[in-house]
Amino acid sequence: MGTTRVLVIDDEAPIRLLCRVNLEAAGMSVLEAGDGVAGIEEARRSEPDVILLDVMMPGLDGWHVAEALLDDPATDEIPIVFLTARAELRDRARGIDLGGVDYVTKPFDPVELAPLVRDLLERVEHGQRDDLRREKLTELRAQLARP
Amino acid sequence: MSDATKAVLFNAVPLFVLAASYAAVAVAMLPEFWRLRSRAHLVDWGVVLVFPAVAATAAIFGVLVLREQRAVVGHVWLSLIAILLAIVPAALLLVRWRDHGLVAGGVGRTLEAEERVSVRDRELEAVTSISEDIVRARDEVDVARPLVRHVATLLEVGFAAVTMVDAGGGTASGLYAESEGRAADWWQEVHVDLEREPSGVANAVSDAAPVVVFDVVGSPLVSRRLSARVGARSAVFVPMIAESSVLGVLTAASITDRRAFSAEEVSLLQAVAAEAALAFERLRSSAALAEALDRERTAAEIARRLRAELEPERVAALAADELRRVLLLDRSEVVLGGGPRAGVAVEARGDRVATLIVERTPDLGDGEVLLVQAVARELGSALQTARLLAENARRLEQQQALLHAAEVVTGELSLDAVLLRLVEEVTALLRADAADCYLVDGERGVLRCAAVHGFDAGLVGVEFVPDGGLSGTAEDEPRVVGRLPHAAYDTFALGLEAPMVWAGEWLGVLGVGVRDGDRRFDDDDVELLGAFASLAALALRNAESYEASVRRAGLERGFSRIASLLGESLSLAESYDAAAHAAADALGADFAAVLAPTAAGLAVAGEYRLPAEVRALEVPAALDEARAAAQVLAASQVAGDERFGTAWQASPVASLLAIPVSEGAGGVVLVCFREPRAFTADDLGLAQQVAAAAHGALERSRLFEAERAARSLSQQLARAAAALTTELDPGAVLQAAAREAAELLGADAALVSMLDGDEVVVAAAVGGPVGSVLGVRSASTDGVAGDVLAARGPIALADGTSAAGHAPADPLLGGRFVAYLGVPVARSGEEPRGVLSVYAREPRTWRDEEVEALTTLAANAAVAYVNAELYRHVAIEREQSAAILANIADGIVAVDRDGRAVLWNHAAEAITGVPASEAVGRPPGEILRRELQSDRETSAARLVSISRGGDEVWLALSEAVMRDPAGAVAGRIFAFRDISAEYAVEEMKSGFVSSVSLELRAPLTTIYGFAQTLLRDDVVFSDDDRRTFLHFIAREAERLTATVDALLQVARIETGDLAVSLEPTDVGAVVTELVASATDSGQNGHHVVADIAADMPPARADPVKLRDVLEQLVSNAVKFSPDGGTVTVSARRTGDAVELAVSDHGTGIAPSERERIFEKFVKGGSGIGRGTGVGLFIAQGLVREMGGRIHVDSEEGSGSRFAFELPLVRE
Repeated sequence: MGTTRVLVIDDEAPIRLLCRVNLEAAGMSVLEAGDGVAGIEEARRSEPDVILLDVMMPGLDGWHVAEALLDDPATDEIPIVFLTARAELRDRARGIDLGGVDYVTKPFDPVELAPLVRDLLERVEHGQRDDLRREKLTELRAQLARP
Repeated sequence: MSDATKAVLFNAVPLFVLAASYAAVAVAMLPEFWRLRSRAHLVDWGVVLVFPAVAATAAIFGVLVLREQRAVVGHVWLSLIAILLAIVPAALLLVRWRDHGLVAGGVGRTLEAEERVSVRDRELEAVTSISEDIVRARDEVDVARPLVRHVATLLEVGFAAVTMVDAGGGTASGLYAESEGRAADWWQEVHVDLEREPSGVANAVSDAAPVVVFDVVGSPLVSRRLSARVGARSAVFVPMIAESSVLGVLTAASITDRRAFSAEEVSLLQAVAAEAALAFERLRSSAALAEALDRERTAAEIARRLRAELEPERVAALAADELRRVLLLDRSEVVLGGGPRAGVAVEARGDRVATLIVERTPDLGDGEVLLVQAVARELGSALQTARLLAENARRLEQQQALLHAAEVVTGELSLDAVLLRLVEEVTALLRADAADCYLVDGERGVLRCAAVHGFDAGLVGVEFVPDGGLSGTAEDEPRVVGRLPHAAYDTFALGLEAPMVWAGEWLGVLGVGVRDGDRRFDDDDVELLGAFASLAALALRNAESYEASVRRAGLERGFSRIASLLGESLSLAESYDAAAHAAADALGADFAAVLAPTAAGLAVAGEYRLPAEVRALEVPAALDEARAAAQVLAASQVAGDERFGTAWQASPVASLLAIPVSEGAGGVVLVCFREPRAFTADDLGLAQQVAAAAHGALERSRLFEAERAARSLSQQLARAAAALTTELDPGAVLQAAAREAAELLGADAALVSMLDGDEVVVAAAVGGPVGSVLGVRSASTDGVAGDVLAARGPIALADGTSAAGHAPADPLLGGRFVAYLGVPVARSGEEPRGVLSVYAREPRTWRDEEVEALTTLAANAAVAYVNAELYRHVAIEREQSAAILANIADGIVAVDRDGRAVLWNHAAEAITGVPASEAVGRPPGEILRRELQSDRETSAARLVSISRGGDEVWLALSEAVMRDPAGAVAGRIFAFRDISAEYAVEEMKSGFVSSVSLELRAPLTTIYGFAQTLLRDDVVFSDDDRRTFLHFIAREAERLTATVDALLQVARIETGDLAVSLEPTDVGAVVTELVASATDSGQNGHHVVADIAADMPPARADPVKLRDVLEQLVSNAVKFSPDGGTVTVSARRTGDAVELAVSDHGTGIAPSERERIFEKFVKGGSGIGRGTGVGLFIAQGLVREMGGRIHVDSEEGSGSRFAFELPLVRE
């Protein structure tokens, strides 16, 4: 297996840079897209191993990007991790519902990004993609149940 | 060897041997030939002489050879060969010496043998020829003719004949003869007596062997007359024998010379005779067969004709005729009937049914006898068939007669008619002279004559006691009876009777009688009478049923009349009349009356066709006694009856029945007849039933009378009650009660006094001096009203004036009113609320039902009064509630148990936008398209949104469930307030917090992220990288600050702490600077251009704040424009102001949003975009603070233009 390739779709350049620096430090290669449309194109073209996807973007927002990617047989296998400032539980649940495998709320510790991606890929390769999503939903439900 | 030697040895010697051998043969044959020399033929001589001649010749040549010593003619060897050849025949003869006789005399014997053979051949030929001729013979003469001809030819005789033995064997008759080649016809006339007359024929027959007579003339064996006629000299008689019997005799006779007949000739004749016998036998057999066939045919033909006849007499006649015709009989007769009689018995099924008598001369042959027998058999069969047919026809006739009789009899319904028909029909049916019908009278144990036909009519009514009584004496079978012990039967010779039994019950006896002493009843008659008796029983039973039903119908008519009377609303008097009528009807009486008890005794209360003279009669004491004893009085004959006086005995009442209606107070129903009449148990039973029914009718009538009065009262009462309940005002109720009370009882005045504390107040009055008594008060214990209250029950005074002491306390009593009836006004079970009093000017007895009615009216009045009070109370409360609800600020909606709105107050109208007129009666959920009701019984205030004219309205809704006394949900009340404004603020606040959170998180993410990155000690970053990271940190920190500043600005705007320092400001410069910096920052390829009018005067503004405003507007324009779009910032003067505007060609703003975009926390577009939603709020605040006003023009899809004006600096 070659270098892990991560596509970061975010309209804010600093965030993209932040991801790039930290993921490259872990030996991964990073692709970038500044908005949703570009992100979808990049994903189709380069078929990355993982996509880190911002939600709040002008134009096509992250939800729509995720739907488009998961609807396309060329890209529907690529695990999507939502990267979002929307911290409400319902937003997180929506991300998992749409088909994302994980979510990272801003602000986040960029050092943790590479281990998260690696761990994720390992589980996805073991065919546990749906298990992952189930775990996340269970986690969310537990948080919702907590008063 | 010399030739000589050779000649001697080989010629001479062999020649001598030759001579010797031939000589030997000749010597040997000589004696035999000599013996046969007489029969020797010339040829035989030649043959025998050959041998000595050859021997002599050979010896001569031998001698010659010896002498000459030389071979014969010179050839030794050839001669030797010739000699040896010549020796061979002699040698052969010598070898077969035994047969030498053949040689000697063989020709003669051969000729003899040939002669013998030719005689045999002729015989055989003759036999064969005869056989061939006779085999084709059709009759005996055909046989005889060739026979005779051949015999004459064969034997060469002049006469030949055939004589046949006759059937009996005693005689024989000539069949055919030929004399000298011609047929002798006379021979056929010849008859020979075989037993008494001697003749050759007779001898041949008796001996069954040929008889040969050499001298006919002198022989005693032959018949003189015949031989003379034939002219016979010698004769031979050969019997013709077949199957051991002699059929006839073949005779051959010579007529010229006497001659002997050789054995061969006789045997030839025998053979021929045998052949002829066979032919005759064959002819006879076939003749017998033909005769038998002919007989059978004749018999079959006769049988066919016999079968075509159906009547016995005609069958018999036909049989006799046919036999006579076929057999040519002298007498042919058929005597019908059995019994021994001479003749051929004709039998059918083993019984002799007729005799066939036939006579003829000559007697009948065997075949004819057989034919007669066959015809007799057929006749028997045909007679049987004819008998059966006749029997069937007779039975059919009987059945039809029976059916007809049955139809006639069962067609009648009346018993008398049926009986009459019965005897008529049975007489005709059985062809009798008379018939009678006896019916069983079970009660008296006798048979009573019910009808006769042909007998003396006096027989009707005669009774017999059957032998051994009635029980068990019913004969199962019809029987023939002799004379009966009654004069009516004296002229009758014989009778036949049959029981009439139906369903096992013996009903009677049906009989017929005949005068003719010779008449016999056969089995058919018996059977017919039995069958008819069964039908008669059915007809009788039907008639009885019919009579019973007729009687029942009469009864039912009577009862139906009574029943219909019961159903009518008749007065008591009418009921009495009706009962009399019904009783007369039911019993078939001429007139009737109902006597009712009075103080003076029984008197006529009701009547039906009662003659005046009877009505005037005094009621006899016997009737009263009968009534008292509750026993029916029956008088079959009033005249002479001691129980009735002379007046009664002379009256038109000939017989009567008096029936007590019921015990005690009941009357008597008197049913009268103009004729004397015997009353049966049925009549009495019927009378009892009539009485019971009449009792019911009278009882009912009494009740009806009582009820009618009561009903009248109750109808009035009901009307009064209805009148009361229509009033809703308590005062009016009481007034109505007084009015209805007076009317109900026909009183002259009425008062209603109501309790008020310890007093009673006259609340309503009708009649009399109303004005003076209304409102009059008195103590609740005073007066008669006080008594009513105390008694809690009615008080009735027929004449109140006599009850002194009350009068002063009552407002009306004692004046013009004397009679009083007062009842408490109270609901049942409750304390009285007052007194209802009625007054009459005349003394009056208050009947119970009147008291009852007034009490009921008072109770109704009480109920109506309470209801009216309640209604008034409720009406007031309702008005109050309505007023409260109408003025309450909250929307109030009430629904009934079906969920339909019953209340919809003004606030509800305002909040929902639905008028009450539209909402009431419909479920709120349907009206608002939103269910208000919650699942829970009661709930705290909930937030519910509804739509009002397209706007969303938020309601704080609370709900209460109303329950009826039983605990079931009777309705719900919803109260709600419009909290749309508050809700919107809340929403905005929530959105603001979320937006601020986002707005703060973004820079924080960058700052925190890069800080963490820089803190990594596992990665070494270049200085450039580190610088970049730090740059980002710094920039995002600034952004954070700006956001926080904006929020502070908002706070200041809201608190009014916004500080602006207004100064003359070069607006154009500010715009230019802004555009330049915007272009520098390269806002996603947008073009930001300035459009500044020339000679812009300075405006009064805070340049920093102005720039903030413009920055905000440009930022928005960029945000809502496509990349590469142009944003224009313009400045121009408008009157005494400067107008600044930022316009774009972006998405535009929807009209609904245009008003709100300047509110705080309101974000444009989808709301997803960045920003806290305070930009325009701040801009508006700043512009307002600078003395201007900001507004927007926008068209959705093509852009927006935000503009504001700033005042010019005043000179």
